[in-house]
Amino acid sequence: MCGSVNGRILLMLHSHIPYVKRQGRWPFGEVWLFEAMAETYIPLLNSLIKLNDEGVIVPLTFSFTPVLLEQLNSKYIKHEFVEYLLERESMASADERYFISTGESEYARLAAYYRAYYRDIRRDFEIEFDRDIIQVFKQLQNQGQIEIITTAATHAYLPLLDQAGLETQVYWGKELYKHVFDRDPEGFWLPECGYFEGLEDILIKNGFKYFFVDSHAIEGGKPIGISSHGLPDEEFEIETFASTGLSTYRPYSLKDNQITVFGRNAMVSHQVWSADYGYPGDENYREFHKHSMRSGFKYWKVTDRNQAMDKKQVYNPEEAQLKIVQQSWHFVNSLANTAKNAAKLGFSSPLIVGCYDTELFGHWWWEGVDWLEAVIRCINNNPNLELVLPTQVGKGRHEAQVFESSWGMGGKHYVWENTETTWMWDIIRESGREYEALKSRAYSQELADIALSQALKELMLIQSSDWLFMVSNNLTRDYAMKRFFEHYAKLLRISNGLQNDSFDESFSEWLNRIQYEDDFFSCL
Amino acid sequence: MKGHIAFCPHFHQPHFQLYRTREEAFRNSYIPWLRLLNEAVGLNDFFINLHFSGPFLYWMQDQKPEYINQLKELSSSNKIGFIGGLADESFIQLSSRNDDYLYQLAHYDALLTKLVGVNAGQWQGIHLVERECGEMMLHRIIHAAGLLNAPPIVYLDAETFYESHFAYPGSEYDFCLKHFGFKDPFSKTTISHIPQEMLFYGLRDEIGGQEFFSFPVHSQFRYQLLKRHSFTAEDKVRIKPSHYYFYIKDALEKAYETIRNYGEDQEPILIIFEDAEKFGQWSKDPDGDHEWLMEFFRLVDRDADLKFTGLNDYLKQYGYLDTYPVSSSHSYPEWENWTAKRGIRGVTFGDERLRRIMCRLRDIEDRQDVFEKQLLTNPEIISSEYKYLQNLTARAMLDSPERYLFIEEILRNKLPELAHNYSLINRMRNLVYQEDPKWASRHPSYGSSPFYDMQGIAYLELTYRVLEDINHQLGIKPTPEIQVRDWDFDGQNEVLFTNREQVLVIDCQGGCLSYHSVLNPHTDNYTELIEDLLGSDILSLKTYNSIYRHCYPLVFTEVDSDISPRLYPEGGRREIGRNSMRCNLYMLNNGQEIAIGEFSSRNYNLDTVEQDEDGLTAVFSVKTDLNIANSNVIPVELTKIFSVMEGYMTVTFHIKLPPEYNHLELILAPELVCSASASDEVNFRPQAYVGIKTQPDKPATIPIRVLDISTQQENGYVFTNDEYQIATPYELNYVYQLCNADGSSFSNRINYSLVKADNLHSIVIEPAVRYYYRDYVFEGQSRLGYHTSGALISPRVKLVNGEALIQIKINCDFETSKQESDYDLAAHLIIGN
Repeated sequence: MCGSVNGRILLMLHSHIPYVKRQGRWPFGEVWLFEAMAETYIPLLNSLIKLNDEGVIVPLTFSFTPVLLEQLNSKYIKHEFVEYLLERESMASADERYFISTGESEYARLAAYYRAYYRDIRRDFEIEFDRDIIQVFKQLQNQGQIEIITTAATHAYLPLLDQAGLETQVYWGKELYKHVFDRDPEGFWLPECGYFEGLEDILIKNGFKYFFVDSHAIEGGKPIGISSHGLPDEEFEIETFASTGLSTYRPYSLKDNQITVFGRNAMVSHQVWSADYGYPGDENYREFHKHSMRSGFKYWKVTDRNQAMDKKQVYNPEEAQLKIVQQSWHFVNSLANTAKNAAKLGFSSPLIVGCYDTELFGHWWWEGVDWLEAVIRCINNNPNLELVLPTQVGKGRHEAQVFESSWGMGGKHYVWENTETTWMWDIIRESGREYEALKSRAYSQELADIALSQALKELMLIQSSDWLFMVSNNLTRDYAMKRFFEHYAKLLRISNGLQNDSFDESFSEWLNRIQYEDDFFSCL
Repeated sequence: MKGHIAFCPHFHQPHFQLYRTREEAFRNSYIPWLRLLNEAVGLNDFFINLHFSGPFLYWMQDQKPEYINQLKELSSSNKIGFIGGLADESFIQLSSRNDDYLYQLAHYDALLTKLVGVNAGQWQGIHLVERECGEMMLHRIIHAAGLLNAPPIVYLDAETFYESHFAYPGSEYDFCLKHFGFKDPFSKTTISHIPQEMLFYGLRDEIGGQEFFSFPVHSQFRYQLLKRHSFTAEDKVRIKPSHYYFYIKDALEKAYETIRNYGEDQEPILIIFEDAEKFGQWSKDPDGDHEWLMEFFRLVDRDADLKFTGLNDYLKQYGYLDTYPVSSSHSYPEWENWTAKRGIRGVTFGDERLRRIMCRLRDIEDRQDVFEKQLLTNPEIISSEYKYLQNLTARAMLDSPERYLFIEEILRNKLPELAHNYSLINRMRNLVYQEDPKWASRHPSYGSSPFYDMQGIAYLELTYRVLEDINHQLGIKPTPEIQVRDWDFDGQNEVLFTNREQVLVIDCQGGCLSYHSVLNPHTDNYTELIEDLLGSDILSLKTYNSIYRHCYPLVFTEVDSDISPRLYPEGGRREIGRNSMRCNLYMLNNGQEIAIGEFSSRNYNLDTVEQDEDGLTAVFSVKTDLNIANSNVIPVELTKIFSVMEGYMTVTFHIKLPPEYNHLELILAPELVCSASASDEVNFRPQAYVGIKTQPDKPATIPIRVLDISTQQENGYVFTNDEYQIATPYELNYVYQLCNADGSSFSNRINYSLVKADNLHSIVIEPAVRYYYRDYVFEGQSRLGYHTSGALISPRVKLVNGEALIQIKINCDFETSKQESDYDLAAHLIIGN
């Protein structure tokens, strides 16, 4: 009986990097984007193409924030990315020479590995992808291999936005997608899986057919997201959601079957995401948090998660490769067992939805892309499992009520709304009102249209959930606050100009400059 | 930036290559190469530096003359250059003779000139075998090149050049710390006036005052061309033409950028070195490879900044960067576990089998030396008016790089009847130094092919007889029939027996035969035949298995991992040859055979060695104390008597224990090993069996176990066992078939007659060697069978009254007329598909 279970695996990879173009290079800023390109997007595409060449089907679902799409399509970013790669190669060469000199041959070998790695990324970016990463994704979608969906324009945390802000983020999310992919998006990724009742109405209004939520939003119970590094140290009770008797093994419909919702499977998320038990924490994998003070390269392995950084041992890529093989088998066996257990509960073709940040693979978890490739191969070889796309799954046939929720700590909004961020929400909402007021006015000068358009861009950048997250987690807090205030200040100055309906030369020059700095959403 | 690419494919098939392998490479690779070159020379910008090894050209000349014609036609495009090299692709640095360098280069020059009309002065460079560049090698090759007016240009692996590095106090490069034990605060730099990134230029060096130029070959451009497929499941690297082009341009750009920082503005060059057979033969997909290469050529053609060039052409136009000494000696860094770490000589003398080739080459070189000295010091040869200078002149001539030319000239003028044979000897001796497959091919990844060495040795033994003949004509005494000397340079003496038909070496270590070659005893007109045979085979190099009609190395075994003493727990060990006539003493315990006394590997004492009218005899013995559980220490003596007569030899094994241990169940088990093996170079279906004659009217009481019978299957061999019960045998005949490229086939028979073998207990037959270099090479390469190692026959006799004696007579029957039906039992050792 169990041998005939047909588990359907839907892997959803959400891709996002905040807007960093011309917003500083290192240690915060463009380097985030370059790292994601070099360590995640390009290696991942290489894997997909390789699997394709081998005849392996790779039905994966991707979401890209429009703000990321715009950056990846930017000529400036493309040029700077090549420069970044050349810098990395040069730094790796210098490290290699240094380690040869100091007789540290294992490190020298790793430096050579990095040198070849970045050179090959440059090779693929220039030759294989003609500097156009999105075009390759687009081709894969057009071939029916993958499905790409959209999300909020600048990755705003939607449950806490006002109505106008919500509509702006969803609408421009859809429009930017159409502009890039020449088609309407079918699905919508809720940033941070942030959902509240009524959000689906805006999605339906914009023609979306499905979205994703965390498992507890459907099943109830305790949320997966129970811890988060660096959050404000205040008393915080994790809510246990009422058990619904529903399951994420199937999709559900909302609002008279107008839209479908997919629930994230707790098991597949836990095995990859968990800080304590997840695969990325394996002792043989590369340690993300320790890097060379000379060059920034990471030369160490996790070794022991509980040990101090100075006790980390040198990384060995070959050892890590062995672990990838073991863990990919383990993961696919877990999927098969989960499917079998679901079958016992009466789900003949259980759906198992895994949702991950794309950047987890390769960037955060260096071996993640290879692991994912191995997983896809294993699933492809497993007669009882198949990878599916959301449109292949089809509409939910059962109605569900979905809890207000997110995949953040506590399962609701705490990560983005807490004592550290209350003031930011005040500004976000105030900015929204400011923009709405500007929009309702009539202007006599041609420049007003440009200014208004730029005001919308600044508003959307203010709404980005990234600043809230960084402040909450005390990660790169200074940079986040600087950015938040800069965009707010820009909005205010535009607002002043528009309200006076007079633009002097210095305003005009300034507007030109910020258009250059905050240069995205060309279709606005 | 303008950059240059010197594309240098290396075409090679060794002497003695199997016919079928050569033909397959011809179809898959060499013909497609011609097609590719025909298309490529049509591009605006194309140039290629071809190197054909000497053995390859001899083969082409003999077998594929139309190919040479087409090649010649192609060269008229002026887009094809030729790299010179050695006539036999030999590891000539192992030769004891200074003149072999010139000999090799000059013969190559003559061959290439004859075939395509390109002489040494027109070469684009010189190919050094396995890019070995030891000091002596460089010195002698460059000197010889100068004598031929060849350009002193070589390409060498980039690893050969000094690495630029900066030492830090306390690092392993702090040599003050290393040698004097304290940190040198000033050990911060070493002098490295050319950084690694700039090793993309011609570099000058000199050795012994002779200038030469070298071009670094970077590992990435050595073996990544055409890397369309993964080599193993773990190998994820696949290179597209555009990737390859990217890497080349990237490397050249970085080199150019660096040299501008260096304050110069010179166009860099990158060398692509590759085995030509990678195209088509490795992949078995010549069309796919053709497409790959043409795409790469077109990418370069379209790029105005890149240009294909010849090595010498580049040097003439752009000169060299600087004098930058090569860090000799290095070779073949791809196989670092093999040649690079030990060097060619280290590999050769660290491997028993290869060492035996060297030892036999030394024998012939010593005898040739005697000939030449005799010739040069003979007053009839060198005019008496120079008498006072006679010895001085002789020494100068013997030390000259042109020694063989002197001798040939003298012989032509004074003793023309010897001139031809002298040339033959030189030709054959040089040929046996060929690198493939003896040295380079015994590397950890691809193992060795045992066939080639056997053929080389067979020819060499014939050559030795020709040398003895010309020595005789000069009045030189023949090689003594008995010699006791350290033949294999291991610090211990061996016994050498040499007569008209046999050469054998008995090693005290194990008291075994480590070398045994036999000539066909039924051949009439002996010397004349050998001269004819060598003349037809060697001068035009039609060297096939047919040689085994006349000569066969019976004992020339591979090293055997099963008897390798382990040196380190991590895996280091000494690989030793299986050899023949080792002997074990087994104690029977519940049917199990337990080896006791370590008689197989003990050091035997040479008791006597003598010559009488019947033949040559050597007696070896070993005394030891056996320490068997529940028993006292038992003194035991084992004696082996080797006797060599015209046409045969006998070996007697005798063991004796004190009478009080008569109750022990003991078995004496000699190992009769014959490393001669079946071969079918056309269809790859070798056949061998052991034919047994038994005493009539006796009951079938003797068990025979045949182990590891090789059964051919599509993907190689599978191994099974068989068992028979027979009447007491008196003859065991190892019969192996040889199918040859000239269409002939025949079988040789090694006859083992059990002259004395009372109380025969059983017989075990198995491959001479099961594994060589086990765990050091791929499993499939390590596994040998009857088809690759020959056979080990072990007749086992019981000790009765504390004593056992077995005497075996061994003789060879070349091109035997015996059939399977002539035997009471034919136990097949190889079963074809």
